[in-house]
Amino acid sequence: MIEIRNLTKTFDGFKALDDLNMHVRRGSIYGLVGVNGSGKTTLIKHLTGVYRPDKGEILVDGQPVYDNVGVHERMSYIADDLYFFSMYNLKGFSEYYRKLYPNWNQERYEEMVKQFGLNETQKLTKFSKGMQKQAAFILAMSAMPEVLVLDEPLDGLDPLIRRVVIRDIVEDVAERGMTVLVSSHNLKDMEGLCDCIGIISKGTMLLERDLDDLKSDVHKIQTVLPEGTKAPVDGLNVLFSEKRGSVDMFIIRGDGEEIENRFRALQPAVFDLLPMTLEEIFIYETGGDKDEFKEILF
Amino acid sequence: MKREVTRMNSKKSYSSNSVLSVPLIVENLKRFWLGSVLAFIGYFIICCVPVLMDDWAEATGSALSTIRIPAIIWGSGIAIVAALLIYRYLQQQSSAAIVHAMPLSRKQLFHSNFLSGMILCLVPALLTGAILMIIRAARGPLEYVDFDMVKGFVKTDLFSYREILLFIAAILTVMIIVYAVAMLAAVLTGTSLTQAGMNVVLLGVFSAVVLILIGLGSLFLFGFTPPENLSSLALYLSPVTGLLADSSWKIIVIYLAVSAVLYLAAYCLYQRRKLERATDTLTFDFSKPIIKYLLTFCGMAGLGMLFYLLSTTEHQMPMLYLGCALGALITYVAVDMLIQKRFRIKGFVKGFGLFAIAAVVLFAGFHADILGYEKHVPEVGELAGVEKGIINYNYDGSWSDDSFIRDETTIREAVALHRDIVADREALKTVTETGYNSSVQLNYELKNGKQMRRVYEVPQEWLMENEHFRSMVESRAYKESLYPVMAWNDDKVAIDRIVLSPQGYSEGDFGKASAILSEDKEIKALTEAVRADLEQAKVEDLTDFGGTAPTLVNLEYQVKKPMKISKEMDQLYYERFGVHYNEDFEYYYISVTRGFTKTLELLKEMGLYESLVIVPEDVDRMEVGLYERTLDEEGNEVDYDEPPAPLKTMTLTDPEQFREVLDKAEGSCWANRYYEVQIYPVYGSASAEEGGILYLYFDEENVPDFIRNGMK
Repeated sequence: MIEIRNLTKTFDGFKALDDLNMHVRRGSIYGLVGVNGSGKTTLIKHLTGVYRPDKGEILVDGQPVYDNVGVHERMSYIADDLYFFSMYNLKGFSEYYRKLYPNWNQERYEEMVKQFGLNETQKLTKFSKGMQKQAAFILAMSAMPEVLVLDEPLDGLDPLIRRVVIRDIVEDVAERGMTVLVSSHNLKDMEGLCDCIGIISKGTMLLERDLDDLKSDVHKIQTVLPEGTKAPVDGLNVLFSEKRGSVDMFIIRGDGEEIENRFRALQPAVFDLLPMTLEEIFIYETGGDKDEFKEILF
Repeated sequence: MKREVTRMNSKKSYSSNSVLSVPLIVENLKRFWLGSVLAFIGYFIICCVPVLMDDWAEATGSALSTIRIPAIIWGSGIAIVAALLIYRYLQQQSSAAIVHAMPLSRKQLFHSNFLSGMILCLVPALLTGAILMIIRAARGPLEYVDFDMVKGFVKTDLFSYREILLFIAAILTVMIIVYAVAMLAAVLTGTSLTQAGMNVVLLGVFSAVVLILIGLGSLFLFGFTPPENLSSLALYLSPVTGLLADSSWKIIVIYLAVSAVLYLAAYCLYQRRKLERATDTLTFDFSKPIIKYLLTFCGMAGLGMLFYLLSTTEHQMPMLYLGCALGALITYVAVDMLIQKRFRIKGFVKGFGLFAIAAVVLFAGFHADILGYEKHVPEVGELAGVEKGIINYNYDGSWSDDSFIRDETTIREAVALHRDIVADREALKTVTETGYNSSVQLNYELKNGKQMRRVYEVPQEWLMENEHFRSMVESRAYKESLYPVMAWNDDKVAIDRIVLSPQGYSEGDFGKASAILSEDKEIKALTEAVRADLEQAKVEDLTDFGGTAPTLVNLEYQVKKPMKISKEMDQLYYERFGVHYNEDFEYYYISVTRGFTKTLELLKEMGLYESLVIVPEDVDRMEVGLYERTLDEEGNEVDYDEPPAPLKTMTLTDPEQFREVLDKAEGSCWANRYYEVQIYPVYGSASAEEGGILYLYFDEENVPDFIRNGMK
């Protein structure tokens, strides 16, 4: 659905995005994670057609995004830094959106206003930050977008509202096949919401993984092998290894069955294939010891 | 509930191919309609209220033009504010991102925002125009009767539909072009504050640069007079001043064409504008040096001129340079800080160094006159004429359709005089305003239709010694240009009377009285004598320079107007001007000095001389004072806090001495050491304080011995 190829953007000599590639499947929820200043918002502003790339291309359904009304009509964007016309209330803004977005669903709008309990006639600028986020969410979702782009959407929302927002998003993905790109500086926010994660650092995409694949593909093994026996890891993709006394610990990417068979063939005194959290997976996938990853993980 | 993409209550999108977005236009109108209402209220107060007032109908000659100035200024302000409001979204990261992420192309945003702004600005003005039309229909025409030498009386409706249309067109035009400028300013800048500043820059800086160049030309180039088209250019480079000066249809069309160009330029830039530059001072790198150097140039010249004006004569040039240096430095640093948004600006040495070099080259160029402006004197063969009133004296340009002297001899002498001035320019440049200089205005009409203008400040003494000046002033063509009486066809020009005013400041002080000649015979005789004297008159008789003879009698020719008008029109003329045109005159003046021998002789024959000219019998005493002017280092007379005291004084009482003084003294004196004679009348109650006494002068050369010796 979304294809970004070799995207490069420079601001006054500073390379904010450097030959970045990204792929988002239709109907998926893609979590874009990175520390502050890693280039998330810049990437999102390219994806939403706000910025013109210096190099590379951004396609949605094979169509370029920049200055393409056809694409924008099918895309909703909630920015981290919200903006509403001064003096406007939610009702007034919804009327404007209704004229702009061809798929606008008035019923849904009314339903969501009730759901969030917002006062339609109160000026949007008088709303709290959290309420403004809710208002922006209502407007974005009522436009019935095929692509929803959310920049740090959960900031400022209380846990209850956060759950409602996530539920609504997941429902639309499930029911309408909406594609979602959601950014955050914290990986924990993404767990349970995203099915695909991209980690951006210093303007480049460090890794991009499908979470199911990732979880089934990376394994944590704790084992005590017979004395003098060398661990059977030749040819395996070992992300991390550690020895504590007689206990060996490995993080290995690969086919779990094959790995288990290899170890069991040596008749270890102890062999445990342990579950891994998303954080652990990313620590080991990315080298783990970098400060910037600690920031997004913890 | 299963959610599907539904189109309930929604419309099909406005496609990306359409130029305008109706929802955006409607939204803009909804957001800013109040501004439009305020604009209308302003227009109503400025334009309609005065028209509705009773005394407005009494206005003479100006009517709508009196309200045009505030209306145009108001319109310009409205357009700037409208652009500030509508394009504010460009100046914040958040709004720029949200608006451009909406399903609106840049093309639609640009055109729709322009159209919204135009509707918001123009509707109040159009409504005002409609109200003016209604008032016009209700109250009828506002007639103004003017007199034209060729057409006679011309009746004009100052409040015609056409005039209202033109008035409204001028206001609409100023709003369109100022809005186009403001739109360009919005695209070029990244904050609302700099957008507002950029409006001022774009609307004023180009005029300012031209005015500065004119100012520098006046300061550095001897004889510099800005060509008329350059001064006009300065005026028209800003649409606001341009339309204030001239709101004709031609100017309106030109400004509308310029608006279209500005619109296209703004559109192209809008397409290329990077939204990430929102909050930057300037959004395009190419504009940074242009704006920076333009403002630095203005700052340099502005402070330089201020220092120049505030300093004393001898320090003016050093202060000018000091002011320029400080002005350039301060403006450059301030503007660059603003552009870079930091106190420690980068590239100062290189950037300012380049400007400093350019400024030095500019000043050196003016100093060295690299364009050869000062040295350029036209060839006689190039010229079709030289304008009357070369020395700014006794000419008001009113008595002839052609303001140029086309006589070849006069042209040749004028050019030769010009050449002499240029040759002597280094000495003449040091001449300052002392009261003994005369302005020499050489306005040439070239055969190719162009004009060339020079104005020189030249000491009267220098002029009097210049053979070409003398020859030019004494030529018949030049005299005729100053004294039409010489060239009148007596069969066609009906002299009604000649009023002769006596010597002295006021009638009666010396027992003198005016005389009136109304008999044809007397008029003819006096005119012939005057003509003969003018024919023979020397420069000394024709100028009122220092060292020239005093005026003895003033002649006022009252000539019946050549055109008679109908009684009806004459009555209208009377109602407007308080005199009947058919009974009114044209007036021509001639100063009779002692060189007008034939005229004075005739006056004696007529028995009028003694009643007009002061003779020894009229004088009670003469107080003589010897004075010496105090000069500064450059040889110019200093400004006195109090009238200077005489070095020596004496009193004359002998009628024979009176006669010699009256026959030989000058009307004024330019010598540094001079004798001032205060002549007290026998009659009247004149005193020095009341100004009823007559002042005459001598220099050391021509002072009578009895005064020179008396002072010893």
